[in-house]
Amino acid sequence: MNLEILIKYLFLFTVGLITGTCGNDKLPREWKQGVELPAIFPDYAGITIPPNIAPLNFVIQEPGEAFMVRLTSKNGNDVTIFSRIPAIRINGSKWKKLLAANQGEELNIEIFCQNKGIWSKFNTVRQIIAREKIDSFLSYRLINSAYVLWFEMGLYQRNLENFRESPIIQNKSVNGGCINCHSLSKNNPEKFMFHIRSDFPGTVIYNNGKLEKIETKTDFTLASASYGAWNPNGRHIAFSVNKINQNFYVFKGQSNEVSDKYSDLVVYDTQSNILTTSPEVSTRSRENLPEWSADGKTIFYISAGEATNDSTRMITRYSLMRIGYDPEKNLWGMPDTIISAKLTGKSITFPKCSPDGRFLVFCMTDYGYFTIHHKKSDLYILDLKTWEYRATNEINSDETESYHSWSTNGRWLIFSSRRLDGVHTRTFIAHFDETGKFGKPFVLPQKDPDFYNNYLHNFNRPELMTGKINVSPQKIRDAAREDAVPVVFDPKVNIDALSGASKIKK
Amino acid sequence: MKPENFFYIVNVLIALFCFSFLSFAVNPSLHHQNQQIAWQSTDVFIHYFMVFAGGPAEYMALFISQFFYSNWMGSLIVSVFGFLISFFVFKSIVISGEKRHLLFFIIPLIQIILIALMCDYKFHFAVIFNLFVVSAFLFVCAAFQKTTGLTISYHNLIAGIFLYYISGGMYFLIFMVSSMLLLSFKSVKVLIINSSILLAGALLIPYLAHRYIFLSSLNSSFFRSTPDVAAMLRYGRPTLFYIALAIIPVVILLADINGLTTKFREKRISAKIKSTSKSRSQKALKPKYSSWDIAVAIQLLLLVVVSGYVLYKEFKPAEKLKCEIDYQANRQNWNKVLELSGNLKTYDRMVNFQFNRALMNTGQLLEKLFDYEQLLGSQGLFLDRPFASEVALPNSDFYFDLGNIDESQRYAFESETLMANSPRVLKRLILNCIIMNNPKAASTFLNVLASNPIEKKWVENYRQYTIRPELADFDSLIVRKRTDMNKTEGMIGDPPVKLIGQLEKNPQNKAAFECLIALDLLEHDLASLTVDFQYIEKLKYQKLPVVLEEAVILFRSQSRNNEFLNRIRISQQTTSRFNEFAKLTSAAKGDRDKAKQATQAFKNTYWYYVLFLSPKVTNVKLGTRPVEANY
Repeated sequence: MNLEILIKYLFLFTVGLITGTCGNDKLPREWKQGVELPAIFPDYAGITIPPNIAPLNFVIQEPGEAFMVRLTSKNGNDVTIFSRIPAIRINGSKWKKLLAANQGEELNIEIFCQNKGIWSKFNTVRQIIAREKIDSFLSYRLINSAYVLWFEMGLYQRNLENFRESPIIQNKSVNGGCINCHSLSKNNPEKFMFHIRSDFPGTVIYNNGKLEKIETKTDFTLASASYGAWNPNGRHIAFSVNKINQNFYVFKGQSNEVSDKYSDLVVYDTQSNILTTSPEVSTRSRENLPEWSADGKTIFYISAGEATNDSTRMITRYSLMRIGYDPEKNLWGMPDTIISAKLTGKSITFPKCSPDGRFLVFCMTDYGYFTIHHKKSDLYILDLKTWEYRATNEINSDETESYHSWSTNGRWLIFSSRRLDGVHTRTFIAHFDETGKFGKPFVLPQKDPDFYNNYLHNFNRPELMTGKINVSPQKIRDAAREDAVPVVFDPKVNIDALSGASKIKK
Repeated sequence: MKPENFFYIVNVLIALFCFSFLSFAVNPSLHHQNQQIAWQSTDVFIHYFMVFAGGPAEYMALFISQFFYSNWMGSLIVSVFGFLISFFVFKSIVISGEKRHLLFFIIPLIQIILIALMCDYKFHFAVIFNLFVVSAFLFVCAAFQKTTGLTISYHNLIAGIFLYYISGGMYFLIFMVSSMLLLSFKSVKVLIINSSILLAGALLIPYLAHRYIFLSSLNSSFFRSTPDVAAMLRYGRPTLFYIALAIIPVVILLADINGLTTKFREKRISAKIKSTSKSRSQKALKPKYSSWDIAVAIQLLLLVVVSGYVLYKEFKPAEKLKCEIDYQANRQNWNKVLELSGNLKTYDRMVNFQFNRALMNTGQLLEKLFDYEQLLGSQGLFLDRPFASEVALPNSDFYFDLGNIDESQRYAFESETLMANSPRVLKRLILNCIIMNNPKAASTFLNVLASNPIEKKWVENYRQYTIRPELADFDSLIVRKRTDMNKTEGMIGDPPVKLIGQLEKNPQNKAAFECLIALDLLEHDLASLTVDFQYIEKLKYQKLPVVLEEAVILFRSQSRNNEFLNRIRISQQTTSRFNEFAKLTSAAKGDRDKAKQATQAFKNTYWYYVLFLSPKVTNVKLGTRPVEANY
């Protein structure tokens, strides 16, 4: 029986190879014109795409014994594909030429299906080829869908201009420890960091060719650094330090709630190895998820009230805050509430500032901050000029929308969503135009167009990068396995131990 | 008969014995179940194995060992591979041209050691496959050397590089050491050159691979010998395992030693021949050559004795029984689970759990709960705490049985992280998704499961529910689980809260009720029992379950004015039994051990549990470890 299946597969593979790749690329002489759009997966109809994106391979979800696809645009370089199977794979170099020649133009995808010898043509799928490029690389963590346990995970980088993915680090390299919360300075692959928990704990920082590992837990902070954000100056990193708990729901349409008992903000200076904070961000309230403004002089963050019991710990709402911070002089301003949870009745999380400093995209959900498990979590955008915000309904879905990242030119937003099957987190790309509107988002293209229907890992914390991280994973592994250098807590900071959740040793 | 032919006959006979032993005693289908062996035809799956040294062999080993689902196929596969390893090692020694025939009958011992390793249900077939690769490479290299007449062993070095990628560090080292031992002694100069090449290769290749190619640690780069699997599936690597790794070079080494002594003896003989007359010397030396027969007899005897000893030491019926219980539970053969659980002589938490689960599924939880010693109290019923990798999948199964699909799904996701390709986990996720009306997610998991050739039928059956979700409304299992599923919103806490939540939704969920009451009883919690007893009204019990009667009569004896307890009618039979029990314990006059001894006949009663077995009186505590320690 199994041999039969194997032989069947081999036969189909061979037939597919011969007919799928070596077929006749000429259009059929005649066909029946349909009026409906063809069903294709992933849904690439009506989207705006970067001119440097990898081919948008897709599966035609219409019946047929043969398929023909023609990609056309105003300035030529058309691509025609004939296939006996519904999975359409576009030649990379032809696709590149087509996009390069037609930036700013419409891309038409004509799809023909042959049934019982008769060809029919669907309505043309249209896309816009944007003029603005997207950052060429994307980093993310690949993990399974568990909550408490983990086994294998890793940080990976993907070339968005083709399909090449390579590891930055895998947790096998550090005896299976947890690798998390990677962050970059202005999408710069020369400046990135990530944490390791369990075995070989610490924070690995790659800064302009130098790899080092630090231990951010001090006698004066309540935990090691967690969620980080690099200052655009490339020198300072703001972190939250959190005492994290997990609880499980059974009946709320979500399974899990990650919440903090305490959390504060700190800033780490990569040059002096000093970790500093302010009484204003180390209070009994829970300050969390820092993000720098484009000029690097303001920290946006979220804050919720003190957790007095399990209920207030979990069912809490975070407001959007900001505080001035001058990294050069190590001077803190006063906190300011931008959007109050009391007014929204919702909880804000993951603020991310656009590179031009004009917009802030964040998630909003019913409560808490760990939105990946919140089906109701949606993306919102705040105009930092007018201080008006709105739900970005053009990119939201009925499923979870969560972590996001801007491209360097501010024209593309990458975000996590579970819209494909409600369980697995995939990366979506959306164009952002001059009027402050997003285009229809599309899922990160893969070589195998059916990839997402067979893939059980989650794309966690997607971060765009302007290029490849050029330090080898072997070097990162070696740095990760070294002992961490302890950071020095700023001796000038004089916080009374009673001022906040932090236990400050005097 | 030629010694070579005699060797083949012995080797075949040993292989036949191995097949019989595996199929009748070991049963590789239990490995299949225990290790969740899974192979998939997807690109993602093959890619996973192609990016580390040792991955290709593990991929092949998984492909082959997926057929362990059948006992006889698994037995056949292992015995064939054992035979081939012996064969290739033998041929390598023969081809290398030295006089090493004296040890021919030690070689089949390799097969015995391999099947002895199979007695451990966490042992990975990948080890056998890798040893097969090593032996095959040795044979090919020896044959190549003989055919080409090469004196310098570059071919071994090149083969070693390939083998390093295919099988990983440890098997590469075994190959390199074995290759060194197979080197010809004819020229000292050639021997030194070849040894240097192989030694340098053995040290440099894993180091360079670690430094520039693969992401593993240096230690793993040199010594990786078993697949990286989740904590609960990790192989313990007993001494026999290391013997198995060493067996090929050791056999060759012994053959070398034998070869050298043979040469030495031959030299001595020829010296004697020179010094004595031809006829006399031949006559005198004849008996020495006939010692071959004695050596063969000794070796065969040794083979039988060592084999018997190794198998006797390694085969552990209790471990097999535990695996069988899990196997039967997974197939929902509950009566078989109950039957087998009784055969285990020592306490085991997972057997206790499966026993309770079998009772729950057959509606006997409150009739026969104490037929198994509940030494860990409620921790033998619920595995929620302490949470560790080994309880993830059983817990998912348990909550599925109960109809608490959200909890089942939560633990199924934890299991998926540990055993991403396990058909058992994928099936659980698929069913839960269908029950929870999420056909899209079910479809994703189905697509992955569909790439496992053995699961095609199951996939076909459930695929229809993702294409036309309304069909699931006619599936009795799905309908039942949807009825039992709770939809009340709230933060969950301990098991009683979850059970009450389910009973509020469906008061006729007998399994939930019985678990709730069993939990109260195991915790000696009269207050909760008083409250939880109310749910019995909606359940159609013909008579009060025995365990409940026993509990009520016991609690009543302790608090005589309890109105709730006094309302419950107890059968005459239980009352008489309780009186007898009370009489026996009173007669012991406070001597606990004496009372325990006297009441042995009541071992399966709630009274005996409360007085002598409950962790509340024995203070037995489950050994715990932090979750991080799993990794």
